Amino acid sequence: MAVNNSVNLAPLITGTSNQIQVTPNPSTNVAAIALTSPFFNTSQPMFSAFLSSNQTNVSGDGTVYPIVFDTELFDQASNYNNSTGIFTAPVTANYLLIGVVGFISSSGGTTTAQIQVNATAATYPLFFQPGISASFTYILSGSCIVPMAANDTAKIEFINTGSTLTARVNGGTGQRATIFSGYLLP
Amino acid sequence: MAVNNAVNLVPAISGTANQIAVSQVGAAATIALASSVINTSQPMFMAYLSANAVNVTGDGTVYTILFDTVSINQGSSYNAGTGIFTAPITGKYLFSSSCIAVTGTTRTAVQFQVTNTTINYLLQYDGNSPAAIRTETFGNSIIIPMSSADTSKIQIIVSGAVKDTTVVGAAGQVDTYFCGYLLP
Repeated sequence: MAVNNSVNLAPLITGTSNQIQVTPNPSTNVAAIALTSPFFNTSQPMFSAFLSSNQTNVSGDGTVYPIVFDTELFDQASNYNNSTGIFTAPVTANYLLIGVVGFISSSGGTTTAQIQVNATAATYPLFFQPGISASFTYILSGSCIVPMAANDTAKIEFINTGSTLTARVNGGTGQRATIFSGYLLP
Repeated sequence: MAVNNAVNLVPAISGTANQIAVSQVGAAATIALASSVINTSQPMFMAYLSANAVNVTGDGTVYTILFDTVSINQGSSYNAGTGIFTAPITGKYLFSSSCIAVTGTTRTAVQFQVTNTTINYLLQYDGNSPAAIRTETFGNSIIIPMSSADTSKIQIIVSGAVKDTTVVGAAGQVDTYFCGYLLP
């Protein structure tokens, strides 16, 4: 049943069984909703998690290593699984995903490294670095907006190519170097 | 004064002295907006460096970048004199920063980070020793939880023997910047 607050509120607010609809009032053609105080939604799907300990010998030979960010800073709608490293989209929408991966490169030769978002519909490279020196520390990072259908998944992967399985992904509870964050864009 | 539309709208809208709450009554409640939302009170800032900061690190000095020119500062929570953002309320904040740095021949590593009160969140690190003067860009975004009055700032640490690193800034273009936003 519709409620018309146009006398009191310029936009029209209507309700259905599971949704509140706010539309511009046709008589005033208000194009935007202006808020005059900080706005936040503690139900908005949003998470951030980091890796708490080093993961040794996980790539270096081209192995695609999915990172399990095991310690959650927050997970507002419980969509991130810190046992699997997988974020599952609760609704069809666009999501901002951010990855930061710290690592020590493999022990032999000059290699390449890449971090990527592996989502259900596509894989998105976040950063590719050629000319990686042996046994050096790097942090690669990047972000992207990913369209996801409900129940689609996304995870962060690390790949070091050109040597042996000796690369290490860095974790720690002090300085945080390997982090995965996501946010349902409103 | 309280407003309660629970009879007409299944999701309930209620009001208190300082908050409007939309809560779920029946099935999953969502709010659908058919127009853009602009909130000029949402904490949000964008600042950049207007001139080179010369010889600020390179010997391991932890340098806090003073983004001195403010183009956005909704809520006035960013201090251009100190380079520090102070969270006005507890929430989740998105920060993005990018920095152009010219490092010298003794450089051994570059670390670029957000420091949130006591915890360092590393945004980028390069352990290479190029043995040559090199210009590079470091940057990324991050979402971190902050309590009211927590602070955030951007730091660059270049290790090596000589304090000869320049952080690049310019008045005519945005080379090195820091921005943040309270996620709604």
